Amino acid sequence: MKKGLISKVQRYSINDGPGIRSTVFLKGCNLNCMWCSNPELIDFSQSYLDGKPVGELISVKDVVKEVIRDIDFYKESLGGVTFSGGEPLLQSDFLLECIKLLKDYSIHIAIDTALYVDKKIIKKLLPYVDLWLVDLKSIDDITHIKTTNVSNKIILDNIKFLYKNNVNMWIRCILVNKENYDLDELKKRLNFIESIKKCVKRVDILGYHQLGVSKYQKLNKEYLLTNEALLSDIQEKEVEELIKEYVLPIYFERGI
Amino acid sequence: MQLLEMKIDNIDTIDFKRIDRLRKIMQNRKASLCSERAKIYTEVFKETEEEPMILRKAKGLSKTLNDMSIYHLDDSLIFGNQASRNFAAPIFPEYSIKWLLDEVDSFEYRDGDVFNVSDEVKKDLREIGKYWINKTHEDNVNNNIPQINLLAEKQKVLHRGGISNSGDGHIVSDHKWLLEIGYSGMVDLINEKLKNPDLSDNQINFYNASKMTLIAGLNYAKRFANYFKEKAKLNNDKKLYYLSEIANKVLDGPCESFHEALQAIYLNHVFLMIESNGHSFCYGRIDQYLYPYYQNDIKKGVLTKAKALELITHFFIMNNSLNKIRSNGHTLFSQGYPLYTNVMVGGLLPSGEDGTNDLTYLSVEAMGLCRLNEPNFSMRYHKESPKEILSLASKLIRTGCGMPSMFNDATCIKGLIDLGIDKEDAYDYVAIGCVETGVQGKYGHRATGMTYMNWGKILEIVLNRGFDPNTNIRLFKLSKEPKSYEELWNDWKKALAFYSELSFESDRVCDRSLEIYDSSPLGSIFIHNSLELGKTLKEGGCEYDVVSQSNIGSSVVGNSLMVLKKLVFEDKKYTYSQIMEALKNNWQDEEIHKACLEVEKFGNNSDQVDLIVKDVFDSYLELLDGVKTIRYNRGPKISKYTMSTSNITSYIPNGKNVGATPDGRKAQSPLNEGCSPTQNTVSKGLTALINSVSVLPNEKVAAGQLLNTRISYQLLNNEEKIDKFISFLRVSAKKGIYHNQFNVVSNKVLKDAQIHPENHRDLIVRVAGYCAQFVALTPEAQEAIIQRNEYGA
Repeated sequence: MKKGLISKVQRYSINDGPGIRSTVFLKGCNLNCMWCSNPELIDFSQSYLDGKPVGELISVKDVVKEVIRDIDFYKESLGGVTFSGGEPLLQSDFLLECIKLLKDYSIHIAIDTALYVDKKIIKKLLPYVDLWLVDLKSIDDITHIKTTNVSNKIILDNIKFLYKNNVNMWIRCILVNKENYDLDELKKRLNFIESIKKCVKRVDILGYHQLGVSKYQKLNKEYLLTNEALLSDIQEKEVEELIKEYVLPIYFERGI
Repeated sequence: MQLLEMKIDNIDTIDFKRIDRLRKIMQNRKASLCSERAKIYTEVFKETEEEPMILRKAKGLSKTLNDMSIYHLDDSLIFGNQASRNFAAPIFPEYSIKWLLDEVDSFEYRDGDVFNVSDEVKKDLREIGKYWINKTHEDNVNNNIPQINLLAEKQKVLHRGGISNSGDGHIVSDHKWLLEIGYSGMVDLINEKLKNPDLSDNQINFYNASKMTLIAGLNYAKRFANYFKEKAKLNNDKKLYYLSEIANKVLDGPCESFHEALQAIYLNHVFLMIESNGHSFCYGRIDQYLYPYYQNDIKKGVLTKAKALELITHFFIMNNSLNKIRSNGHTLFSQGYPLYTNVMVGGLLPSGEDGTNDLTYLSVEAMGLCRLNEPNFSMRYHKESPKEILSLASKLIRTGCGMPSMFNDATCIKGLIDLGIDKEDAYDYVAIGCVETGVQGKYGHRATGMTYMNWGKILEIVLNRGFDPNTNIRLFKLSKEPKSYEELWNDWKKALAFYSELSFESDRVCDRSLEIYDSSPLGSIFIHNSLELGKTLKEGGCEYDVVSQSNIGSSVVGNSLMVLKKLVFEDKKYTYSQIMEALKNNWQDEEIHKACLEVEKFGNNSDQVDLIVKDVFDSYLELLDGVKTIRYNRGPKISKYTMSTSNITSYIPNGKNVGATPDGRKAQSPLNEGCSPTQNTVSKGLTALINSVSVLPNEKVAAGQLLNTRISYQLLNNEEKIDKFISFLRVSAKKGIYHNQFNVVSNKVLKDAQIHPENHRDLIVRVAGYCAQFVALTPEAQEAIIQRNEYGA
């Protein structure tokens, strides 16, 4: 049976999809976002944070065994299991086995992904995934490359592919002042989302927050953002105004 | 001031400023002592030495209600005072006096629960004290406690609870009946009874005593009627004329308005708190028995929702003007001036239907406006409870005041039915104090908190083969070190059975004495079947007599047994003596400590250890079969022991007496609270916690299984998350969790309150089965709250 490199399973997870969920964090990511709040999950091998190992090889059976313990909570709240990371699609064989087993229990499955992967991977998961939580970090490719290290071409293409396959999507847009945010850019992102709206069940716009900063020091990694990355009150208001122009179900959470 | 959620018409008719002023008075209240009651009782007792105790008690209460000073807080719509000043505690010398005389000079220097005592009161106490030496309930208990129990107390295994030196309390009058017939109606019923020529002297005395106190209660209300009338005349004050009218007929029965009904139950409550210095005098299901009065007034057009909300808020706030003083020792077990005045709303009716109504919602909003530590506000819920009421409750929880505590009908009701309580009565259960459940108007004795048993200490004694390492006292023998887990487990069972036998005897000694000194003619009469049988509750004049002790440390014991099972007997990583050595030097060996900490702990949904904790519960439950109270066969339909983990703040002082334990806990640190996991031993989240607790025999812990959960505000900060929280509550209920209560205040705020108490007088926190003003707690209790496991998003 396959094993996956997992940092943790978070239970009573309420920010990663509908209802009460368990979120399985898979380690390893092929993006390098400037604002990443889980930098300890970027490497594809075990690392250390606060002297504790992050990432352990865990079998499909053990993951499933742990998450089905909360099945009653999922059923009551219309929740389920979310695979997040890192980039969960990079461990797609493991992922597929987990999901197939969970589907035997009729558990709702969400995948939290940046979609920077080969389409074949998505194709093979498609029939088993109930909800795709897709990050759209910038519509402008130069900005995307600058802030995440990769081009958004594949990502946009994959979003369109999901759209064609008529899946359920929640799209998440992080706003980082001076890096990926200006009003015009957000408009473009939202316009793009509007163009695929029949698949988009929800849009979460998240103001930049500094919760991950202390981890950088501990990991000896350089953190490039400063306070300036926070949206100003005026900017937050303009976002709120802009949202009103769309019929999309948009939720805006201010940063802290 | 803002409501939590409700949209109410004519909301501007509520005088929010007045509510705020009243709240401020209670927030800034200073505890003191009042000697009026003590002086009056001393006088009465001196004059009545030849008479039966029940008459002496009745005369004491009557004279007090007639002669004590009365006052009114101008802003309040609810009247009635317990002592001569706001938040002054009366003295009850007939229960105990020695500790009062010994400690009176130190009350103002305590770390928590400070009391100011004027020189005059000190003088009064010393004066009356001479009379009471060797004449109190406490003396009676001390004279009758067996020597071996004293040794077990010295070992710190047993602790005689409050009932060894104060009254019992834990009375929820049949308020419905009280409102229907009033005190006058009860006097008529008693007169009827007295016509029976076959009554025993005991019965005649009881009836006469009750009658005397009821009449004194009626007079007390009349005193207020005159007081308001005189004051009203001065400036033709309409509100005072109105209060005077209410006071004039409030207890005459039948009750005629919602306002009068609230006033009647408050006065009854105050009287019971002058009659006995027990605590946990509770109101029960106010949203049910007050509803006809509310509905009627609304129909008549004399009451609006807004006005009802204002009245309930005043009623709630006024409960913070009452007080009780405890000895230093007992205060550590019961910190934050708690009175445990429980109010219960919501839940199923005896008919099996959902009872949620307007008053359920208004009560939650009123608690949101009151936001003080009393009353101890609780809610019942079940699978058909409307989402709206659970949402409103969640919004009150979100304010951080720790209330309501959420009781799961299915488990609580089943627990009571299994004890033999009639189905309809079980459906009418309420919390009586903290989490102890019972039937309003029918329970006659405390459901929990008889003798306290320190399970952490019992474990330590088992590990030390019978010896208590602190005192070197050994009361029973164990063989040398256990060779297998089974042997160790049998030793635990043997020790638990041994100490439980002693503790039942402690209970009986206290009970025999309470029967005399806590005879409570007024407190008894509105509990069935006191009137019918002509006896006090303590003589068996109640329908149900279900009691329990308080057991502290179940998780510490279970976790410790798990560590020994795994590391010593299964993996053989360390020897028994290596672990014992590590415990002795309080974990100087870091490697062993780390290994012990790493073994699975209760609360993480890990089957093996969860089942061991369940075994620990079962090991006690199986000892309770056939244990009888002194009221067995003397009146109650049911007279039994059950179990409870409602152990207030005792897990802190109990922990202080226990050395390091194999679970990795350091010497003297707190044990676990209620059935909650030990501090800093959970990492898997809220659902894992519920799954673990659901393994325990919750419905058999029928006097209250206390689960205290600390969650971050982020879990409740929008409607969507509240929906998820409601699902969480519903699943918890399905899984048979008995009840759950929540703390939401962050450590940042708590720590700031430690440094700047003056800025945080409004900070109410969930302590145990009750809430308290954070700044009134001792530093240890504050720290223990900060150390609790917090569940985040």
